[in-house]
Amino acid sequence: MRYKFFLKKGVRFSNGRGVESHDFKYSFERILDPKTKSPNTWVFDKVEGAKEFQKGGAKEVNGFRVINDHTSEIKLRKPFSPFLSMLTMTPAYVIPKEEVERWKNDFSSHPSGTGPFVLKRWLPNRELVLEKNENYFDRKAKVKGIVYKIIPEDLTTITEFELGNIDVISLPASAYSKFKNDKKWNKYIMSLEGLNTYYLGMNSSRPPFNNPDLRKAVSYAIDRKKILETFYEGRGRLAAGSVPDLLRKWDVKAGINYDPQRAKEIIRREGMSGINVNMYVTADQDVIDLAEIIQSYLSEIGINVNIKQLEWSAYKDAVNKGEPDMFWLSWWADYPDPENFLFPLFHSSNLGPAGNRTRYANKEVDTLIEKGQNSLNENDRNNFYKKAEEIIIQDMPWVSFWHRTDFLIKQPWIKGYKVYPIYTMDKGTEVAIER
Amino acid sequence: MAAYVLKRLLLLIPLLFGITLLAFFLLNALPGDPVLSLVGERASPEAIENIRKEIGVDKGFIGQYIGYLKLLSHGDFGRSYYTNRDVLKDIVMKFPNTMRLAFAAMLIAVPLGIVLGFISAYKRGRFIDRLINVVSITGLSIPIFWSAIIIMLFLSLKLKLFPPSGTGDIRFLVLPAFVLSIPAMATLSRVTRTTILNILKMPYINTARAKGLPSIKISIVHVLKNAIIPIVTIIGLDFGSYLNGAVVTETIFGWDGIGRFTMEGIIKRDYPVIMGCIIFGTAVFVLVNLITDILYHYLDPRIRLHAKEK
Amino acid sequence: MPKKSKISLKLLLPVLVIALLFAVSVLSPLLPIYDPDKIDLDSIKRPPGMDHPFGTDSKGRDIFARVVYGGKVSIGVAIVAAFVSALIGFGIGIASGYFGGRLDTVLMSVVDFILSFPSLLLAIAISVILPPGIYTVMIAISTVGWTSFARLIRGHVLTIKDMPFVDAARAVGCSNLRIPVLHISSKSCDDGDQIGRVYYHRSNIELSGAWGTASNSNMGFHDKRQQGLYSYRAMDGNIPGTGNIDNCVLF
Repeated sequence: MRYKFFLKKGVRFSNGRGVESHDFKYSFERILDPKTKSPNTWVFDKVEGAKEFQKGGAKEVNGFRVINDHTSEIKLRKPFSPFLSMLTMTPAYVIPKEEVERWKNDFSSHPSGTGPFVLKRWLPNRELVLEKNENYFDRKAKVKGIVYKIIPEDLTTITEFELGNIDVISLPASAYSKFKNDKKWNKYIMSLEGLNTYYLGMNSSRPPFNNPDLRKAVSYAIDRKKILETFYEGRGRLAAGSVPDLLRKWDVKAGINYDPQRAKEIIRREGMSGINVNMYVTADQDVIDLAEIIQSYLSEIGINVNIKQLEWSAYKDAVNKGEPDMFWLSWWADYPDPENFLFPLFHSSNLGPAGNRTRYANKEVDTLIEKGQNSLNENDRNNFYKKAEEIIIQDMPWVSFWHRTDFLIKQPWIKGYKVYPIYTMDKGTEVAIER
Repeated sequence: MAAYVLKRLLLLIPLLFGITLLAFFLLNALPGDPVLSLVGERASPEAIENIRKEIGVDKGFIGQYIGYLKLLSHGDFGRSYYTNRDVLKDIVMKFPNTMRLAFAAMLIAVPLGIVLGFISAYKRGRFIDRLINVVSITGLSIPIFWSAIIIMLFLSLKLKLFPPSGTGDIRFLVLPAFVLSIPAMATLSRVTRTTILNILKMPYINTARAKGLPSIKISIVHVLKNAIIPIVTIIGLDFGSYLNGAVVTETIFGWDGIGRFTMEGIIKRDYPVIMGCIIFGTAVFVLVNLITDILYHYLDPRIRLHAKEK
Repeated sequence: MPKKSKISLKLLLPVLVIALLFAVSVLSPLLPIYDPDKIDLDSIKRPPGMDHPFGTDSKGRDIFARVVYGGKVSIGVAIVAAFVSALIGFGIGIASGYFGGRLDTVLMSVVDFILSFPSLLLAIAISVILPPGIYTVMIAISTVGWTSFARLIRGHVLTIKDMPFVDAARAVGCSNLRIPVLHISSKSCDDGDQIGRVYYHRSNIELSGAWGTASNSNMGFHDKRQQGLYSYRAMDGNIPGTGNIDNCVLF
């Protein structure tokens, strides 16, 4: 499986040097290089020769071939359909070797790339200042620069915005209804339908939730639609399965509806009335609230939920190790391909920190996902993914809740601000200030 | 005196050893893996192992501790696991901010607190006394995040007098300093009041009055001199705690100080940052307590710090 | 005599209010108020009204009921933690100030140790080692709370340590133990108590807020939740905030 790339001529790094094929080879190999210790090796490990390079057996990755200064080739060990989408991610950005070697450990404070902005100043936890790159090869930015202010407290953010000190903010959930109901402001709200899924995960590898009927009962017991509309103020789209609605190119049957009667029947039939399960959550107020709502629904069908709050680091640790029976988590798209929502989350090779935190293992699903990854025909791919998702919905290791929609709000003098579902698409070149 | 100071300063070293050892032990024993803050949601077990080796958390806590001590002996506090920036540089950048905030808060709290306490004591039982009492108890009881928000909404949003957040010159300093000064001011006013009232009961005050000394002289010379010790103690405790960073205030007002830095380090299990902040914080506290004790000696000659039994 | 009646009035009022709060807390299960834990997704974030005197929170739970139930916990925790901290702080402060020398240095180093250790780390450690609950919160607050008492008392002791009455006691033959315990503490008690109490309950409030994870209905924590209910007039924040203040004023 080979991809040939033709580079645009005249693209320069921010230090002035022209970009050439060997820069890509250098940047990609750097990710795989064991000395770099990057956690993102998975982006490139399907390239031919990658494994040998990573183990230290080879001095280069022979799957990255430089044909001439502006042509290169990448050869994969076998066909892998999401590969091109993965190249849009930050680990695949091209960087100049001489700058990396010059700054070494401080490279992240002095980054160099080919984008429409350059980093002027970074005060961690305070602000990040970007300046327009006059040598950008594409349409240049319309603003002189962008300042990212880091404000840890929601209320402070809103105050700053209302005073006109900040041009665009992501609207905190707590302030959403205030601005939505304000005639002056609600036309400046922009919605961002996120490529994500929020779910209640159930540890499917051991009792009690290794019983798929019990998992179904949990799903019948919770009125997700109502929670979305009331508690969550409608800030999302109800989820049918694990793949976000915007990425899914096939039809899926409507998800499980709220049916507490059926849930109670299942409980009775399985003799599970009165069981105790534990649910881990982070110490986030919204999540705790949600957990308590879920707890209240489940207690109505006879399942006692014990909520355990953990602080973020401890929480991740515990969930990765498979400690809790149930947990609340979300998955956000790294690249725009439904494989991103199937392989890491449900393939049996990814138990724990690699993504599959419900420890779900189903051979049929594994095979279907792999077939999808290896097929380059889009129709075939979608068929495989569709079948896989159907089985997953049947087995229900997750109760998928919703795909969260985020909101931003801008000042009246900001024009052309577009929202993109994946942040890497946003080059910041369309936004302009008109006063 | 010099010997005493030297002795106290030398004690800093075993204290730091003890604190860093305990901190290392706790960090290792507690759940929460620093590596997980560094990797994305999709890290393979090999990548995690690699990073673990890189930052050195694969060794047991003794191994890590020794490694850290070696680092310290070069004057190096290590690099943040998260931002990879030099920890000492960041602390040196943020600590002066916290110092300015602490100083400003005390600058407001100390004179106001003492004066209010004075007035309250001398006008005891009258309306003004009761008023000050209510106000100071309220000041003590208000949770800081609440007072911070109310003050921000009122002075910043409504009256547009000061910017709501940011680090920098005096414009940004006023609101957080004011909010931070409230509990200290309230405490000082109550403590001053109580202490003065007790002193006024003392026989030597009557003696002074009998001798015909003017009231004002009595207040300032006799009363204040005797009241100074508890007041200084409180100032020391409050100032010390502010220097260690008033996390809530710094967070709400976006003031880039050491308190917030420490807290975020703890949440992410960024060991080098946490250790660096602990070392700094301890040294600061010890210094402040030492200065308080020295002041004790100079302000009240009855206090002898060498403590030899007769 | 006129002086006497002034004192008793001043004492009477707070005692009455505390008694009232106490009664309400104890009798709360019997009172005609909502179940503080009952979730009602149809009445989310209602402003105060006839039905819900303090409004409802983000899950539809009645805030008034939560304040009443939570107050019970907060009061209990405050009393016990204050008492324990005072006891420890007193003892250590007197010993440190009176005996001085190495004991003083060691004890004050312990104080420095506790005060400089980041409270969040300590909090996480304690929350992991001990099970969540009211007792844990009390232990946690006391572990840190005694330090201010200790330093205050020590300061006071240092001032009176060399006073004539102490020499007199020694001359009479009082043992080294008796002097600090009887004579010095009685002198220090009064001032120390008032000062220390004032200082103490300040840290109590902060820690209560931070320790809210121990109990759902704990009032300190409740304030933080109210903050999430962003209201321009910050009215919702006012109510549990004032509830908190009322309790503290009385102590």
